[in-house]
Amino acid sequence: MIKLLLLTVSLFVFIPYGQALEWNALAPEQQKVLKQFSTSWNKLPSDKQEKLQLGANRWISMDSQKRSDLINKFDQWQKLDPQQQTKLKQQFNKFKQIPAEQQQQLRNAHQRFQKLPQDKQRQLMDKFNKRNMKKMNKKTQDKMRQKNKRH
Amino acid sequence: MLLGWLKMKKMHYYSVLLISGVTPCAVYANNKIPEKIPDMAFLEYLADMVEVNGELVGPLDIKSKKIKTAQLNDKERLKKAQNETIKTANDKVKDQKPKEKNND
Repeated sequence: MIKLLLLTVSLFVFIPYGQALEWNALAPEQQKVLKQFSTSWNKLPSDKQEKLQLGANRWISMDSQKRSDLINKFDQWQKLDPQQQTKLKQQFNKFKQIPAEQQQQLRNAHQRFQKLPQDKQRQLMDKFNKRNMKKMNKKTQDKMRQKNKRH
Repeated sequence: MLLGWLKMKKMHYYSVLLISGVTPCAVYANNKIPEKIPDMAFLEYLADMVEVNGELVGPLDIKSKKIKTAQLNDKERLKKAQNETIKTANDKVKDQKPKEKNND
């Protein structure tokens, strides 16, 4: 029993914890951006380290205009209600799961839609809502038929 | 000689003005506003973004604007339509039942 315990403990000691990234393995530019995390870096979980490293890389590759645009966007994001944030996160997670081609198509369509004048946007939304209503009506009708069949 | 002295004084006066005007600009140019150092929340937000068409897209970029399409709210319209379909379905059922009774 004791031997088994010793074995399991030794396994946990020697198995690497995820694929943790050492602070010294970071590039100097990355270390500059992540300076505030230098003392606690080794204690962070590996997935957090990866995220921070990715964020730092993206930040480094941006010019000052893109950086200021992103800062403004982030400020807008933080001003949202927590409910709105969770809703948008859910939508965004769905968006991330679709293939890259579809993401491009959706993004292009969204950008085109945003550029349309308001009355045109309204027309398209009306059309879309009417179609949705028809679908919903069909669904509810089918449900009612099924219920009535059972009775 | 007096004229020369006056000229020199003018030159000195203008040079003093020039130097006093330039040095604050130089100091301001050197003391730039320090760039924002991204915090953890910001870096995570940045890392969560997705690259589409060479552009980083985040949750705010897929947010749709609320457009007023009609007098009624969309949800209210949907509810109304659903209630109407339920009514018509129920009415049909009611109509069928007496007919079935008559057939028997």
